Amino acid sequence: MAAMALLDYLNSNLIIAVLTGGLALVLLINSAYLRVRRHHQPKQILEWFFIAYLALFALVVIDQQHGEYLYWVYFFPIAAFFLFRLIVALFLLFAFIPLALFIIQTYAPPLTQAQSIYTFAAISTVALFLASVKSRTNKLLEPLISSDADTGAQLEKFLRPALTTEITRAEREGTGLLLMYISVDVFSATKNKDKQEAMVKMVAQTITSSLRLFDQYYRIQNNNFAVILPHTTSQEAFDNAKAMQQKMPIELQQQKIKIGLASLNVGDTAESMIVLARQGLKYVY
Amino acid sequence: MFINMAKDPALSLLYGLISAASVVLSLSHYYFGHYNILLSNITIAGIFCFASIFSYLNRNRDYSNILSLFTLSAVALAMQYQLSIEPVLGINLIYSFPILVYFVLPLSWGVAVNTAVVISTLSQLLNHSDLYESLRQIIVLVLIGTCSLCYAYLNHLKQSNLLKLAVTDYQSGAYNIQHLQFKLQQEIARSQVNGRTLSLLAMSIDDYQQILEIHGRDTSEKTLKEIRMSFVRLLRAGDEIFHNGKGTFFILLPNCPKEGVIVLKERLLKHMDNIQWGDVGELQINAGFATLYKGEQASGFFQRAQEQVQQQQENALRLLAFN
Repeated sequence: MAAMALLDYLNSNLIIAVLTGGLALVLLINSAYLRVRRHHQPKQILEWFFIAYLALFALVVIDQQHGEYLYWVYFFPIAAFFLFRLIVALFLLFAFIPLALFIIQTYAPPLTQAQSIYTFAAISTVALFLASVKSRTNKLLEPLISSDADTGAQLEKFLRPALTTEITRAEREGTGLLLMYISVDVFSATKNKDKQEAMVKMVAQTITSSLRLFDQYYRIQNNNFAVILPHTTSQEAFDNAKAMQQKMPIELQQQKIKIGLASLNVGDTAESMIVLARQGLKYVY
Repeated sequence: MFINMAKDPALSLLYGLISAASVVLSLSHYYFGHYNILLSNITIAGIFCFASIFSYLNRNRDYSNILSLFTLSAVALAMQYQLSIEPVLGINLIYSFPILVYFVLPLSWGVAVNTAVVISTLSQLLNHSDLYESLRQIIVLVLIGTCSLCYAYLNHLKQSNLLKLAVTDYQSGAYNIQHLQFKLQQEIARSQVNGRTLSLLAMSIDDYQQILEIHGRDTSEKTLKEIRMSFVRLLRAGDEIFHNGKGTFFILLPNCPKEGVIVLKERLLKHMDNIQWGDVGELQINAGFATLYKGEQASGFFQRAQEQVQQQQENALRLLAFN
């Protein structure tokens, strides 16, 4: 964009150069903002500003140059589908189409109008198809994911089915089974959201390093974790919990982590074991 | 109307739409007297129309990429020809090319094709316009190409990240083969702790690729789901089913000795023989199994089960040839 602005400046199109430079500046600010706030959920205000600027920019620049810079209308659909969710992008595109047709009809030479409409329609359609295929693929794949990307722990929705399977296996084989519930109070340890997230990750790493290959751990709501420990007695689990606690981040060692244990008994179900483990939450030293 | 937005049906529809738009554009060129580029436009419409029909009928994804490469190369040539005789219309047509390439082709192919088009377009523009105008138009083309590349790359990145995290095979609903590698390690470690046996049963559908080509993706997926469900009904809780995406199921059987696997294998084969699989008819299944040796690694264990299936497939082929 800066190169375009420079070309316009060298060609003595000062107004166009300033406008193009402005668009480049908005992109630069957007990029810097995303870089600085890369650990946060980005706010979409700059994206809305960019898309509005792009639409107005296309109109003003094409008006200034009497249709010479018609190609700016082609960028709108790509930007809309790139920056926004499918449904929002569709809404933006439908809102832009009348303006695009007005621009083409008013400023494009009659002999090239059909070609410009064709190009605009082709770019919009391919961008729409790209976004639709992406949206469909994500919809198909998301339910197939079983683990949390941040911590590597399994998702909560898989805890009950896995625990039910383990109960059946333990009853059939006559072996022990234990559920460990770990409650981490990161909110009172720090108010900083980044630090809270980092702490949760450290807790997850500590849990992983303390487990055997066949133990399974799950991240559940409010930064809690549940660990399924097959072939484990209550004493072994208690010792394991104490060792785990000592390896936790220092800020969390004092009165911030509670651990509850539930051992499999006759007639237990996944739900009853989870409730028992939750009820048994206490500080472990 | 329900439009299937899986990549291949979407591609067929997209080619069809572009072909129809190209026909309309050709009529407009005829109306406005652009007879010199009419033929190249009709050629583009014809190429897209052929590609649309071929994509609709074709079931092999490898052919699909090659066809798309030929289609887009032919269209690029027609566009370059158009650019040489009508630069204003030609460059407008070329602006729509990069995003189409990144939608249709794998990323690396797309970058190669678009780079070739940019170089060729620049050389043609320098012959027709002054340096300033040529540079401006080529920067626009590169900008459109870069935006499209970023968009396609982000899509690709997100999809591959999701695929890495996914544990389920979407065709059959069973766990995928990556998850089998993880579960094998897990169960072998568990077996070493509790000293119990561990077995792996492999069941492969003969000529799965042929079934896919003859009956299509929907029927194949439906059959795979039904097969998985029929396995689930005969297995114990804790036994887990995996699918490698190519018609072979693996069943991980903790605490199951060799004799148990043999019985289970025969029971599953008999059960499957009695089922009529809809349009597919009868299925020929090859089965093999392995029971974990003491100290054996996951890769060797998996290899043994797979080799047994392959051996059985080869025997079946030999028998067929002999008959």
